[in-house]
Amino acid sequence: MKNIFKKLLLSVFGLLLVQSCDHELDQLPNDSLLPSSYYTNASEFEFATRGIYSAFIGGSYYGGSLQSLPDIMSDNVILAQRGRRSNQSFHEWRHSPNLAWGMLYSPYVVTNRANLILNYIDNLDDGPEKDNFMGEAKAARALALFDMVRVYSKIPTQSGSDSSLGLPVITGIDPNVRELRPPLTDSYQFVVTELEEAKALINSDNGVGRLNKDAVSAILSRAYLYMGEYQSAVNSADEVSTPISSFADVGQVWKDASEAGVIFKIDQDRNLDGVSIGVEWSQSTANNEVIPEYVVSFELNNLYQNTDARRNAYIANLPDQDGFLYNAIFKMYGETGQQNGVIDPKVIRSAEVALNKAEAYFFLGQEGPALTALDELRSNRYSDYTAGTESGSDLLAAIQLERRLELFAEGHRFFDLKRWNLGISRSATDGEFIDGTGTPVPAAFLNLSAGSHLFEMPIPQSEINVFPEFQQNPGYN
Amino acid sequence: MKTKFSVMLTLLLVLVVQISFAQQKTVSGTVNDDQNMPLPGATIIIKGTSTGTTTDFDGKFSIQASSDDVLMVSFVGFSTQELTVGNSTTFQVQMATDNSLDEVVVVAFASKKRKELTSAVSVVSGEDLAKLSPTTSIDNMLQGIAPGVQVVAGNGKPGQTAFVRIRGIGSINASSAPLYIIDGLFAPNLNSVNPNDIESISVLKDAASSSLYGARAANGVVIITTKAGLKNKGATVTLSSRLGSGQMIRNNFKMMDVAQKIQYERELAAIGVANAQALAGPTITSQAGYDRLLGRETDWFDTLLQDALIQSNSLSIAGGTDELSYFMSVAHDRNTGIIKDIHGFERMNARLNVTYQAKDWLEVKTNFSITSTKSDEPRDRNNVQNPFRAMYDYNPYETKYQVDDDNNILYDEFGQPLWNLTANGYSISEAIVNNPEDEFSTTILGGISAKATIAKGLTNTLQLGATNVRFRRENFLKPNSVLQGYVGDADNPGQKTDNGSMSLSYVITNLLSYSTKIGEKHNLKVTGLFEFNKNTSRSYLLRSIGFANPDFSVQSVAALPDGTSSSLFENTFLSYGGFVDYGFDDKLFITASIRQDQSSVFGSNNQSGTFTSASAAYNINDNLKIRTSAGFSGNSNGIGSYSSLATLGFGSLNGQTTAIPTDNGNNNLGFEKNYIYDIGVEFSLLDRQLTGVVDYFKRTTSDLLLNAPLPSQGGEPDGSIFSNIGEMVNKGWEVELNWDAISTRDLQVNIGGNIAFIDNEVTKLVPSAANPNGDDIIRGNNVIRVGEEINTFFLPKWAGVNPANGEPLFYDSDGNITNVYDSDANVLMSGKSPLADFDGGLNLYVRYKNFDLATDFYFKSGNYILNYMESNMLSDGVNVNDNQRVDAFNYWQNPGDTGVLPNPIYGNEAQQNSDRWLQKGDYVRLRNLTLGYNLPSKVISDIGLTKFRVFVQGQNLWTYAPYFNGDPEVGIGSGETGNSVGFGNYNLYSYPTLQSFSVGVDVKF
Repeated sequence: MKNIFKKLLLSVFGLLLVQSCDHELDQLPNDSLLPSSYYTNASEFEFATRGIYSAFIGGSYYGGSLQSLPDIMSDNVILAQRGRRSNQSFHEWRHSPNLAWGMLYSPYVVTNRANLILNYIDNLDDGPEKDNFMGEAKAARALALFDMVRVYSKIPTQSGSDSSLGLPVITGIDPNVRELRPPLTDSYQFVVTELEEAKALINSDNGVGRLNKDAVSAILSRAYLYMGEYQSAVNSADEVSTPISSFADVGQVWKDASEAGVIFKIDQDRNLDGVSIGVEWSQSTANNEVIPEYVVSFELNNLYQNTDARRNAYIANLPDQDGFLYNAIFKMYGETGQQNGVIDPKVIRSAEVALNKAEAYFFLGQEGPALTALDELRSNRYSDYTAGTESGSDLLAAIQLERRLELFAEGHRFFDLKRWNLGISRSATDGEFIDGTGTPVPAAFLNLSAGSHLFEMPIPQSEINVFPEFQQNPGYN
Repeated sequence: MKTKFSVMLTLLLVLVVQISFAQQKTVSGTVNDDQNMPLPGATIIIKGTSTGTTTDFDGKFSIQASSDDVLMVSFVGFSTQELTVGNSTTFQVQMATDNSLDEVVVVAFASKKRKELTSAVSVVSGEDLAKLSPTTSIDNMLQGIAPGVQVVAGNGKPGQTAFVRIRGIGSINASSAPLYIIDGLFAPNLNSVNPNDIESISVLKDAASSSLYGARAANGVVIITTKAGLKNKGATVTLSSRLGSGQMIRNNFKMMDVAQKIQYERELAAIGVANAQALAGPTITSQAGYDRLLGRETDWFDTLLQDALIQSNSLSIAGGTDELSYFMSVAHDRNTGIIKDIHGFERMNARLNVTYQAKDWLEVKTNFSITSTKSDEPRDRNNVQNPFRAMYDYNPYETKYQVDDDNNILYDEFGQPLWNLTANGYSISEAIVNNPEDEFSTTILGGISAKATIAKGLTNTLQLGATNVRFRRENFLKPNSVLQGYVGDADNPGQKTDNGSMSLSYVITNLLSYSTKIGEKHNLKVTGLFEFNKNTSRSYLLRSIGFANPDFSVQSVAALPDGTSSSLFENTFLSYGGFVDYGFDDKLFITASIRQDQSSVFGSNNQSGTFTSASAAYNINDNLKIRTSAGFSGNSNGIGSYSSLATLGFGSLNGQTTAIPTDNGNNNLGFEKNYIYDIGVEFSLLDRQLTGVVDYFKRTTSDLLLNAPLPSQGGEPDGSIFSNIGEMVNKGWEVELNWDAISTRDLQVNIGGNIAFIDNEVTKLVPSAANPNGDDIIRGNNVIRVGEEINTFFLPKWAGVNPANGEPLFYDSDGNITNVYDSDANVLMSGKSPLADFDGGLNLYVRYKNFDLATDFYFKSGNYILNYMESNMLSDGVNVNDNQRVDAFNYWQNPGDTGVLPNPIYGNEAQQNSDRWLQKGDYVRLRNLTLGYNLPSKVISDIGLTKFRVFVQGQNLWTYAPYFNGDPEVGIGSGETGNSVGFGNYNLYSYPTLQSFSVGVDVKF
């Protein structure tokens, strides 16, 4: 019996060994944390907040498509036949659910990162620091939703926008959420309410690489303009204090050598981040030859006066490898001395705010202040500036022209035409070369009539596939 | 030697007799084989003890035993005989050839007699392996040996492991490789075992046997048991030595020589092919120029390749005393491979297995092995950095070194010949010298166990073991190399990468087992299992640029660090199990098992998996047995250590730290489920001369891990949730036959064969609105589609050459023939996939007196391979600047030409991705042909040996591939090119299969 006990000890020992291993069943990664154990102090919120901005730079968002497609789909650029024909289907309005612009992913990732911060925000003590984090998170998710509804929904000033659907307002952190599209007004209401709240919370001095008080006001001026709430647009614009970049600064801003007039941009490092937004327009060789995708349309090229600071800042006469010359898009060509297309994406600038204000005043019937706001910009762009004298429809045309010239290649033209209830018309004769020769746009892709369903991008089929009830836009079924 | 041992043994026995067993008597006798000839070396053990002896050269033995004792007489190849001592003092034992029903088979956590087996287990014994052609990796040796175990060689690179699939492909995103167990320990692969150390390999094919290994066993289990010494047996020393030479297996096509290539270039230039105009052929106008090119004739195969030197030496010593037995071995293997200036593969193995009877109730045991390998690696990618691409591409009029107009080699200022960069802008010969890459690994497998007999029938075995793999790689881009000019940093020439990994897996296993006999006929065994396993793996990478001197590659001399990283992953398994074996009268056997695995990799809602199985076998008589089994097992391989967890990682924006959610995880994440139903018949006919096994199985793997996409609105970082969704069915037949056609003392003829038919069908994928059964998963030129075989080819369809003008024709997406290629007009090539319909082996063994001849054939049918290499060598003029196959001349020339290649003027239109290059991979290969001679025992015994065998062996000497141009044994298509399909779907210049001749000698004393 004693012997058996001794022998049994061995088996008990084995059992004990195994039992002591029980706690080993919980293993955590060595390079990441559980979100639920994060967001505990100001420095963690700081890192997480920076994480929001890194989602803005996604390739379908500010890191690419949102900067380029609105110009590619409008009359600002023309396809270079000798390029790689990237985005040609969008240039030719052949987009469909299976050939769609996937701009739901990045903005909702921004939203998710902001929501996580807001979800855990009470881990911080009340005070200005907490308020600022909240302000940034709220402004970020409002901007993300605003950007998505610009792309996928009608704009409230558009005819027929009453029946248009917006996109789900997501404030929780469940990745499995499946919400149907709400009425458009719900989405816009969230955008402005959230931005107004953010404005009260956020700091003024976060810097242009972060959302800040000026940025929130500036985005509000754009949102109210889109909504046709012109007085609010003016009021918000008035709260922006960042001055417009000077004539001399224009070129510097687009080499990232100056931040003049920039209210909010995604600040990236040329080497560490290296997101090339310029590659949407062209690539270049070591010999400074371009491999153009799109070049400035001859019509737009001719609208830039020789006295306009933007003429040389935005456009360069460059050859391709076979010596064909183009009005190449130079705005996102690269930092000083670089030609890799890596430039900080500018989300909003004070020049736009001035234009927002001018347009809002015009539609409020206050042409005087409208002209003043317009001249505020023009005085900083033309070497031979003289005060404007336009009125009535000429004034509106002047505001619209200046908007086209100033915001070229920054992702505005398509939305502006859309919200003005205008169609798109392209030259039937101009080609892509420097003198307007070359291959014109095919006849089928010259005109897109106002109100066409193609102004609202189709919801990508991949979204419908995983959420069949999610509503597609009219005209795409 | 033999005499010395006998004397010692006798002395020992005498001592034993005098001290403790005075009442015992001396029993002696002679053991003869079935031909009535003395059988030396047979083992006689007193049943239930460890006391025993062996017969001498005349087959005689002598042992102390009491009249109650039972003597067990055994010898490999013969059935064990039991003799009750009783009043006898002398015995005349006649052994009968082995009845395979008594063969002991190692299964999960136990051994069983073959007749007790209730499930599909294929066994390869050490002797079987010895008859096969040894390679450095045993997995390659399993090809064609066990039905249902499909082995596809990775490639011909020395030391390369194979793709082993037991009963088909078991997963889409997780591994389909089997679980390898070596002496009870989890082993990373089979490359670390010396083939000479193997006692037996058991392949557990159905779930009833593999279910005992739970969540890791879904793809079958390969159990390797290494040799042990015999108790009370003097040291047996075995020496094996082999020396051979290997070459690339011959192609079944020819490349152009200089005259042909010039002719081809001129023809293409003449019909207006643009990229032929500036080539040597058309631009040389003078006879002198032509002769100069002829004078440069270079056979690039000869220039870049060498004969491989294959060497293998091993030594083992085994034996034992009354209480202790041991087996130790050392081995060295070398295979230089066939690339000139690359040193190939080298391996050292050492092993020590010891069993010690510490107390009469306690047996302790240790198995320990260490393996160290070194491999000088060539690049295996689809470009000019790969010598196996270069040897086809380089033109025969291009030379290794630069030459002048008189074809004299040019030298640099130091007297070194200048490398010729060829039309490819690269000299592979230079790259091999100047961009060395070496890999080193050390694998240590060690286990100790203690088996205590607590009471009659009740034992407890505690085993602790660990597997440690250390891997290190060095890659040096010398600062003066040509590649440096292409990819290096001009300001800091030279780049060195040191990377590596360290993995440690330890296992604690405790088995409590009780076996009893109830009444006369009921045998019952109940086993309880506890097991804990922890796996840790670490990796590192260090890279620097800027090396001042090509001779120094340590990074301390580098100017600038260029990249560093390291990683650490850990996971654990905790398991409990209960197994029951019941036997009735040696007729009916029933098993049942249950095992529960908990693992750190499973989601929190799914932290444990339970695996059950049941099986039964009925021996209708000694010649017929039927069995059936069903059970579950799991595949936890595909789950990353932390995949189930929501994670938040760190990145940077503008050089500042960001914290970003990286994945939302999946609390429900679990193992892939595997259910196998198996029914089998084992039979023998003609007085056991013909034996056979037939199995039918159906294997359903469900809960396959797939990425289920989510709507974007949830903000899931990677857009999808890794979830258990898919389902796939493999079913098939396995037949194994063995015929001892002649079995006399002088002549033995044995013919064996096996074949396995397998069908695969994907039955469920991630459902979507468009496809409720699941969306296609497209992997390059293959598709995973519900209702089809996994990885069925999915390509635009080639419609041949227009006889009117030589234009290439394709089918468009509506099935109409067109001359406009559409890369989106992919067509499902139903039934054509990289999976074979059947494969198997055929072997013939003939022994006449002391000569023996063994041949092994392997055959495979029904798989398809994209022959990319052919498309490059018959490139319709697109690659006219590279060398081409001779049959490239067979292009369209006149209206009405059929059975020709397209007119090269349409080369760019013709060279499109399509099923034009999809070829059936059927083949038969003579894997092994061995002729051996055993010196007669009378001769060798005089010099104190028990065995002296010499042999010559040829591997891969003959291949029949009716449909495929090139080597049909395609595993890794291109080592450094990502291949989501896995293996066998295309060939792209990976290391060619070798054929070899070797001579060897085995000595035992």
